[in-house]
Amino acid sequence: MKDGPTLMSASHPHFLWKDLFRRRDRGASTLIQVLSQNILFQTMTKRELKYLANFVYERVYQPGEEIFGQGERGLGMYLIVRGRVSIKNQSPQSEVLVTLLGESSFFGELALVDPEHLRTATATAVDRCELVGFFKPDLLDILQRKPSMGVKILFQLSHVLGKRLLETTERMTLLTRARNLGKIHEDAV
Amino acid sequence: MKTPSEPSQTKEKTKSVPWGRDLIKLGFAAGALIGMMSLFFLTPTLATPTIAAFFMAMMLTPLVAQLERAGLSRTASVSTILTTLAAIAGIGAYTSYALFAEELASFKVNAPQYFAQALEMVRGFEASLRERSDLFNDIALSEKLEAWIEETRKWFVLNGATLVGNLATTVLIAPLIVFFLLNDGKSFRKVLFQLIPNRVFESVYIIVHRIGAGISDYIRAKLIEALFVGFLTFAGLLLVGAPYAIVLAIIAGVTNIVPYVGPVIGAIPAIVLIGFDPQSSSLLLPVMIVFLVANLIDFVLIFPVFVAKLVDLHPIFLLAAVAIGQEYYGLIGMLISIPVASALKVIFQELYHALYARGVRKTPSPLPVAQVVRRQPFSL
Repeated sequence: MKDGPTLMSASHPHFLWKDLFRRRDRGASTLIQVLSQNILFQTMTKRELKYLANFVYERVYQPGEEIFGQGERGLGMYLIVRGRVSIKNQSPQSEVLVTLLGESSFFGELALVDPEHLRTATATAVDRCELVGFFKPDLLDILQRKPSMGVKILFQLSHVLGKRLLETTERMTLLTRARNLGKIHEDAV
Repeated sequence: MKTPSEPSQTKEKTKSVPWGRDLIKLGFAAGALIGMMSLFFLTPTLATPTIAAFFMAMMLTPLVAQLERAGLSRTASVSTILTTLAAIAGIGAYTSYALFAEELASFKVNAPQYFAQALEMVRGFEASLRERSDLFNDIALSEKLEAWIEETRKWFVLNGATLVGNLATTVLIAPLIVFFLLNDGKSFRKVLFQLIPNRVFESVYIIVHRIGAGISDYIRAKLIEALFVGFLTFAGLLLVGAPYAIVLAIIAGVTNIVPYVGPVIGAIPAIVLIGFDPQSSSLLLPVMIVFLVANLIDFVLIFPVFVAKLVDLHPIFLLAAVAIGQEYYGLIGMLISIPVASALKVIFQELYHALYARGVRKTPSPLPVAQVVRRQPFSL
């Protein structure tokens, strides 16, 4: 998070998906290095990361291949090691490209805590993507076997979700204010 | 991330990876799994230790988790448990050997006598039937029973050494397989998942997870149930002063693992032994009551608490599963019928979910907010 975008880089219109937590250090060649660079796992020791490496799944997606679809049940999150992933929201009228995520970004983390999570958008590989999947049953297993490690992950996860909630609240406030100003302006005209 | 993109209305369709490639990949995964299972389950020397190890590993998983929770590494946890178990088994065998050997020696001496008496009773019964009607002239129950006893005796003489050899192999190999399953099970599963195509990866993941958890819970619950039933039977038999309490309690506990018919099978040796023993035939009714009470406690208390909650299937389906298992695979079929039925239920549920339940959301998606922002551009 050294030089990541600030929490209120307000001109960005996609605050729900904007990558607030992306780290810019590249060249993470091993799985443990990749995990250690992710905000969810950055407070862990090397030993814990080595243990965690048994609970994550490395996947490779071809360009255009769907990672998950909107409305599907969510099992967990994906961390991007290589390539770019597009996040699209579909409605009967149109399809909106919400954002493009790049290396070291992650998505789908809400599925780790939401009991009946359904994906709110479709994630598709733009390039050949190398992803690391981390799923809820494994998080629960870690919480049972290594509670201190599980708490570290959950704490970081709540940090991420809290920041996103804060950003959402501030955005909603700005929207409401703008709407009120618009109404005043219309009344005056 | 290269550059965060602006939101845009797009009609671009997702390209899908050809099904053919995914099917080939899935075929490889299935082939690898079936090949490995065949190697372990169809090789006679490996089959018994593998099955025993599988059951033991399922039972010991929570213990490994507890030790890991206490701060030990997985390898240290598994090693500690296996070493402790070996020590307990050694001490247990050493201390109970005298008692068990005494019961076994008495059983060896008396068993031929019981069989002879049983044979005599059957002959008497046959004779009485023949006296009543000519229809029963062709019945040759006693000869058949005699032939069966002779065949069984010969089988034990011929295969006794092999049996002991197999037991020794199991005792040596099973702990090694248990160690591998407990220590490297996760890594092994991870490697297998690499072979699953992306398209079905999440579905396969959740199916494997749910089936694994279900089977593991079921085996643990059945073993706890067997332990309770064995202990209750042992206590009851001791209380009424029945002979061979340990042997009969072990048989009752082990056979209890077989659903529904297990308790009946478990009671038969006790009834035969005590019924045909002239010295203890007066104990027949108390022994039958002991078995009845033990199984009643199991039915009313132990089964609902430990097992029934785990198997979310209607009793009719459970009965049908046990009957089908018995029809095609005998005793082993009956043993595995309920976990297999539960696994099939999970697979059908997941298939249904994948095909029909997609997109049923209880709460509205938060994403339209992004669209609202786009439709109402503003600057402050």
